[in-house]
Amino acid sequence: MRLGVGWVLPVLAGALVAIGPRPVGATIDGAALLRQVDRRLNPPSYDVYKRLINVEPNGRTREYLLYQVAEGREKVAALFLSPASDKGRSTLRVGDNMWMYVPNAGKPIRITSLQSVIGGVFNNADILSLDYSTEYDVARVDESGEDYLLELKAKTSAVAYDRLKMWVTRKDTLPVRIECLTPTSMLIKTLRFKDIKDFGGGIVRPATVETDSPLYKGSTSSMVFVQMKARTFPGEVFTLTFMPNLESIRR
Amino acid sequence: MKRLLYPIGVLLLLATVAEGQEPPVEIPPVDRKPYSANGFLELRPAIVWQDTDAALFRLRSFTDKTPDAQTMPLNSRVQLDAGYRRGWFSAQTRSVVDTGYASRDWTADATAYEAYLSLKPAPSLTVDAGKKTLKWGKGYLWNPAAFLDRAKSPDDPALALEGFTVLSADYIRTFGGPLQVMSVTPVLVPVFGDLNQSFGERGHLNVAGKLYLLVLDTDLDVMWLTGGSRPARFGFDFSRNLRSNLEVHGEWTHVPDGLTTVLEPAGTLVQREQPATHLVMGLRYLTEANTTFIVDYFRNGAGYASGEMDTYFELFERGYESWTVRGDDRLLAAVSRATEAGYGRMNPMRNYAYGRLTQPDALGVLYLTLGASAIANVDDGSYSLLPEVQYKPAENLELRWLASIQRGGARTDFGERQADIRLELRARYYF
Repeated sequence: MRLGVGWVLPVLAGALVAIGPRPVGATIDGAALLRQVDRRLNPPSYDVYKRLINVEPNGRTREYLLYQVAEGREKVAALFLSPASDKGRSTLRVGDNMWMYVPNAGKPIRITSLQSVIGGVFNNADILSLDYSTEYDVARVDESGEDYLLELKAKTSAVAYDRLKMWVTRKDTLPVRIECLTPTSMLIKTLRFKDIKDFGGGIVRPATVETDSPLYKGSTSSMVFVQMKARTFPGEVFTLTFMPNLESIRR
Repeated sequence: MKRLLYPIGVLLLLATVAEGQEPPVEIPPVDRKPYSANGFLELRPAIVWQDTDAALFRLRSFTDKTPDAQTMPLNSRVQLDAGYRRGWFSAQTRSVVDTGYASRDWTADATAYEAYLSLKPAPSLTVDAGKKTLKWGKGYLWNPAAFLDRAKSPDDPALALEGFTVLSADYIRTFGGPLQVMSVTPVLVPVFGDLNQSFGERGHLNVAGKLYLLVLDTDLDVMWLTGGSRPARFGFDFSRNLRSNLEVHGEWTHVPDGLTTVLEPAGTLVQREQPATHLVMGLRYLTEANTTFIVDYFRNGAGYASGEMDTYFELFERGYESWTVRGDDRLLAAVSRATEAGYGRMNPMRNYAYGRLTQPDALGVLYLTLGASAIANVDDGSYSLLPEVQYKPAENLELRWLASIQRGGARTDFGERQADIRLELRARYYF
């Protein structure tokens, strides 16, 4: 029996489709995987209530509640709701630009991504995080372990961390751990994603992000997502002029 | 089957606990009220060593017969911020009650720093009416572009300031491309009767405006003021992040018909009309160790030249001698008026530099911030040092210790200020 090439190729193609989108031995599209991680973590535009908890080496904790909104790939704004000492303070990020508004001072000032508006291990880039695919390219995907290991490289020098190592579950494409590194591979901090929660509206993601850092020995910080929902905002919300009025869009 | 599942479930649960995983965090509901009220209570005990040889101390002995060489003032402040928001309407107030005790005298003062109504029919438009601060400018300590604000305190540039009664609006537009944001802020400042009397000459409706652009990742403002209560002026400011840890900013303003009060060698006070151009250039830099450096340079176009300050100090010495030796207070009275008119203001001369460094979470202690600032008069070499320690021992409690040390030779800006050293503790509780 002779089989013509014109007949074999469609059969092989059909077999590949039947096996699945990622046949054994095929290379994963890292960029697509990273975009998928981003969409699993949050909708393209959303609002969220977050609690930030700093734990000092002596076990003492301090907690902040903030309301955060995001629109598209590079706009994020946050308003501190408690404690009283920080109430009304707001932060804004548009791409690599960041500002902070303190009601007492009465005007927004530019801040940098490596600073921390609350002290502790989380810096401004962690709190006002953009999609990972906005700031990083996938340099390599390691599929040999239980989870995918994505090695990410910052697209520009303005990004807070030069390199990331991100472990992503195969089953639900959610990150479980991220190591933030300097260009010389020095570990700056580790983020751990925990407590998978259904926020409704199809958003199922880790409700807790914990972090520790060799630079803050004994201290840890946690970010707990209280409620999160998809919502769109007009572009005017993400401007310096609007910063004192962020409260007006809170629901 | 159930017999098998039960022990497996128990084993899985134990395994989970053994791995140190915590139970899910209990998340309380988030509520939202239409009203808000918060603020702080602050106590500020201080000790001040006066420089009894300084011109400004001896000048005070002319107006205040019994100045103390050392004082221990105790000041307090209660600040209440209250707001009400319903739909696109909101009302905001900021009230401050200051009390003070120094040299056997009590003082008390209650002021509404802000009290205004705000209408926000759309995210792109806000209209405010009432007393409020505008806070224009990008400089950390000096803001010649703040056409509608009062001067900042060098001890605490972030301190709330009293506003003026205005009618203002903000209109915002966003775009794609290099120009990302544009907003326009027109402001009306009426100065009639008792309304805004500290702003300037009465009987004028002043008009000011600001155009803000976010273009090529750079904040750019263009502002102007006209109307008659103050000399007309215009200018611009900018701010930009050059790297993730480096920001540059600047302000430039011009007052074509500026007025300066000058003390002439004959001891007469004259008002001189001269254009003035002000400039602020600065940067903020964050190190890998999380230390922030701020440096600002200020060119005060309305400042006095070294020769003019020499004349002022010379006349003070002559006037003081005339008053103490012969009882003739005419010249010293003129010097006192000159001090009020400009020579005694915070930065009376032309060139100043400001430096500040802060180290949060210092010495490995979370919420401990060490800092130091310095203001230098570039023209005469005198300076002021302001070291500080800040600690937040508990939620909503902030302790801040700061010192102010003035250094400079005779007939210099900081050398002739009346307070030589000031130590102050600020305990602030937020509620």
